[in-house]
Amino acid sequence: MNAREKILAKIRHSLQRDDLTIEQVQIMRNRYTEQPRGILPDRAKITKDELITLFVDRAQQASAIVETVTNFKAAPAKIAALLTQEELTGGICIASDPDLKLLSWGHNLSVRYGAADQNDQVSVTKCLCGVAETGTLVLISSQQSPTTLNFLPAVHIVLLATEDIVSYYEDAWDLIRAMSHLPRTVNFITGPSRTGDIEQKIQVGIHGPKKLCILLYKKDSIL
Amino acid sequence: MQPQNKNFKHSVADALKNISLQTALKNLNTGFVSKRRTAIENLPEFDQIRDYSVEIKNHALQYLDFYLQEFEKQVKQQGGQVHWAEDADDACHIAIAIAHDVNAKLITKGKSMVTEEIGLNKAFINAGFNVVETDLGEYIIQLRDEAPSHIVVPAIHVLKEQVAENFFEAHKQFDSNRSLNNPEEIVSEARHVLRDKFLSADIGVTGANFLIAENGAVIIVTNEGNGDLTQTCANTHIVVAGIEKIVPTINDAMNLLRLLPRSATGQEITSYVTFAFGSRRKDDLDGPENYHVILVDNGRSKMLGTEMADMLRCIRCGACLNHCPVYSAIGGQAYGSVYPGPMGAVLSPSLFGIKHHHDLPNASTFCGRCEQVCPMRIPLPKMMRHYREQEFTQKISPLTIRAGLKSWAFVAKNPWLYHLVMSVVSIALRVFGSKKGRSQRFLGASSWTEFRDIPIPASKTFHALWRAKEQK
Repeated sequence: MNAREKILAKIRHSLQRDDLTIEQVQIMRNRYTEQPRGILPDRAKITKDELITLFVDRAQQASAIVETVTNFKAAPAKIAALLTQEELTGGICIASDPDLKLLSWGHNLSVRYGAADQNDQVSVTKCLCGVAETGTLVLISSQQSPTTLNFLPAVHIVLLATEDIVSYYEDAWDLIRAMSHLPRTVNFITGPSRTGDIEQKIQVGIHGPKKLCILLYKKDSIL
Repeated sequence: MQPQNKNFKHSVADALKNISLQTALKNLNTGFVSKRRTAIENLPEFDQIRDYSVEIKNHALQYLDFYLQEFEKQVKQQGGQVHWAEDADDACHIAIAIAHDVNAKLITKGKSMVTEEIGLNKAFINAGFNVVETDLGEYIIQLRDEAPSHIVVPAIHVLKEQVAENFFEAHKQFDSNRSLNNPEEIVSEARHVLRDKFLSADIGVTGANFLIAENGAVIIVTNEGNGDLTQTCANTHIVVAGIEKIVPTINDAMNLLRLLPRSATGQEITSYVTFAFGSRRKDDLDGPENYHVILVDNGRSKMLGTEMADMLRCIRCGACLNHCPVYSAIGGQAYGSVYPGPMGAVLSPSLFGIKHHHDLPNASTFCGRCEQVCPMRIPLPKMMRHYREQEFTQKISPLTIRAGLKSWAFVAKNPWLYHLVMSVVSIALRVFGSKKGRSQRFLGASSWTEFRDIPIPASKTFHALWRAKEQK
């Protein structure tokens, strides 16, 4: 017996039963298709408009900066203004997403597309959705959204359509399950990187972004 | 670094006298305890979610063998490898073999209690690899060559002045006149130093908060982002996880996720919750090409089906530590185990044997706060009582203590004798005691009176008063 068999045998011995039968296995796997949701907090059982308010409130509570732009095309100007405000002069690394590539990034911004490296001060990405219950962003790794963009730069700017704000984490997973294949990684992001390791006093920006900025736009206004 | 398994009583005495530790521990109550309370007040469904989550974990443990195989199948399908380790040595050997295989030099690590449990850092170092902890708290204790003193905040016992000292000592590349007086300066320096490590690491090791059977997800719940940089930047990602971390579905895990950060730090959710599904996909621009999961048993499978099985529900939130009067007084290191506090007092003897950790279940006032705050409703006091019984029946406690307990049991089980002894003691205390209602000394009770006074009993016992009343 190898270690795997030994461990499984020990577990069954402790539980005093044999390996499951094929029928039993089938019953167990029903849970994957049924996806019971358990207890959902009432706070997010609200209208679409209220969800936006809840999302913004929760995200700000987690120290995210939330800004609104009139439409998707207005994002570069807003980002340029934000960077001036933050006195950031370095380049911007942008996810090579087709929508983001179509934007005109003039505004004296020096941009490149792809994964982040240590010299990037600012990153711009889209996201799958926002989760209102805790002001959480859901990002899916892909060629169009490399994970390093979420963690290496000092400032992470995320574009989120208000239509893509859902109530619960479970709603986000419904969207992910509907995708053709699972990504390498899914990131739930709520506010900037933080630590309480020095005398339990919260410090922002330890390893990940020091600032998380969410730009809200209306989808019907996309390009 | 493995904790020193010194004499528990001596460690406690040292801890109580340690001024910097006592200063650091004062932050516990104002920090986590009050933040947790606020977070739970803001989630009226908290107790319902608790009950539901207890059911989920019980179900997962009941079918642990099945769900582990499901998880394994899913990870393999997504380009990962799954290894099974019966004990700590096996787990370390597997990790070292992987490190040799990819010709690694530098290994970064996210915070992981199971790697502390199996002593992975030491094993890597002995095998010639360079290991750097990247969670700020873990990094600090690595510099100090200490064991973690808390399962969530490993350097909770260290003051910022001490961190500054460690940084001056370790980071000689910077100006020795720089200021490290503020937490911001310390955090900024750690960011700078560890950045290079992430980017030049060959292997990133993380733990896991949950393993998902339905799709093979490995979930880590973190705040700093070091776990993500650890598992994104290196070309090889090794996950080390206890077998009890299995949860059937993602939706099941979302219930647990509503409990964990609230119970741990009082956050509604941590900055990052990351779901890893194997190695880099064909078109991906980043992420590890090699992905390994090491499933560690190390004593867990034998806890199933016993009185200790409830402990396998533990999600390592640390609420029982934060709310424990004993932990708050002595900190984590005195426990002499990587798992301190009430959860450690149960888990340490369960995993490593009662002989090694028989003192820990006694480090409780049985106030019951740990069970009250445990999101997984683990009956910690009951389980500590179980180990106290084991300690007695297996004759592990010293003869004097066992003899004392036996005589006490004899007296307590014979009412006439009990009343006789009590009235003698009562008279003695009133005769020899002071008039202030307290006595500072009493024959044979010096270890009690060294720290506190013995109250002087009333002149008549409750029983005597009751009898007098009945006779009227």
